[in-house]
Amino acid sequence: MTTPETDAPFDAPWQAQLFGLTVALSDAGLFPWTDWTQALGAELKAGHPYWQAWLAALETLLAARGIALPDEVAALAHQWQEAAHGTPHGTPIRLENAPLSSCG
Amino acid sequence: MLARGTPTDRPVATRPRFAPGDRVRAINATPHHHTRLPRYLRGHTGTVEAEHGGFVLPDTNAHGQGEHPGRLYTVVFDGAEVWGAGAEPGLIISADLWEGYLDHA
Amino acid sequence: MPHDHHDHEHDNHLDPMDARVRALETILTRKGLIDPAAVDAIIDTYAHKVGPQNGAAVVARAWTDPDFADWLRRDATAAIAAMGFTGRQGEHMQAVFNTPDQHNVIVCTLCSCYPWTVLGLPPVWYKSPAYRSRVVLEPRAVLAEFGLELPTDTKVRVWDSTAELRYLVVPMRPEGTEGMGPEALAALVTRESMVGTGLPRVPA
Repeated sequence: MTTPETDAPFDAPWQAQLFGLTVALSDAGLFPWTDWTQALGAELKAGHPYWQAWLAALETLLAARGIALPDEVAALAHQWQEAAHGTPHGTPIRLENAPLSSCG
Repeated sequence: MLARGTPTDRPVATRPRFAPGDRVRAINATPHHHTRLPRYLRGHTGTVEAEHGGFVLPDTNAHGQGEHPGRLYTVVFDGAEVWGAGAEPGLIISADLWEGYLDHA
Repeated sequence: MPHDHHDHEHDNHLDPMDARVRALETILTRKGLIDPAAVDAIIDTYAHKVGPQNGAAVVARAWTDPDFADWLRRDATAAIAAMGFTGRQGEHMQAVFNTPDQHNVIVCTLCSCYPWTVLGLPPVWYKSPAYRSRVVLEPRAVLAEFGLELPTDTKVRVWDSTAELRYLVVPMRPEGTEGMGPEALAALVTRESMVGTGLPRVPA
């Protein structure tokens, strides 16, 4: 429970990115932090691993506010996967690299 | 970045229902908007230690309806009251609970 | 792997979580709700600039300055802000002082609330279901796993961070530190000692 390697707050860059997004959105006034702790607590109670729970909580808050609907997120996530497949190793992955990208 | 932060204390017009020293029981209901009331404390009796004034109530359904501040209290529970006779000796648990989560014991 | 990738130079694969986070960021940026540079600044702050060294400075000052200790006890938010430590998850602080009679431990059983301004972001163990569920039930057993054995007549008070108050444990000043200044003392104050799962180091 106390090994040093488990002391870092993030295990992967996407967790840090997710954390930053959440704090930025709350800073911008999209939701009070009390709503955030409530949403995170509800997802953790469902038994998800910590950062998956965090992502699910943010997706739930954004969907409830009509900001990012699940279909929209899933479609864009797919585009990001396509972009990753189309990006050589060692190069930053950019959404424009997705084939047939419809993003402007 | 660090200079900011978002205080969530708010004035509330109502008088406090409880005062330090009062015996209170955490409600046993499980409506989903009471998820900041831990399950392990529901139905248990403790003592109000401090009253903190009003704080924004967490309620994801309150979006667009404005804030709903509620009075917040630090309530102290005896370990044996919460867990029974098998509790670790000398255990004290405290939690910060909104007024609506509490009844007079 | 079900498929052979013929194009080995182009076989980056994103973790599904990673792809969803990128999707959210794309949507939010397009809608003008976030500024990616601001997100980067937040990450940098919490990954590198805020950490338990802040809390250690607060504790060391409390050990050496009785007036400050008194202020910290009465109004931790203001006393800590006066040292320059303000911000998110530090808006409503309470310092809880260990005594020979009572040892204090903090937890958030509902999620992972933690005093960011003084301790940085929580370590993995603090967020784990095991710590969150067990420390309110059998803190002595949990503390023993951290290597902390308390006298049997010491009460253990567990502070569950269920609302917006954030707690900082002020451990007792170790013996043998008389004459040490705040900076040397701060080096003895571990993160665990300010959560209550440990004690300060003793001087060598």
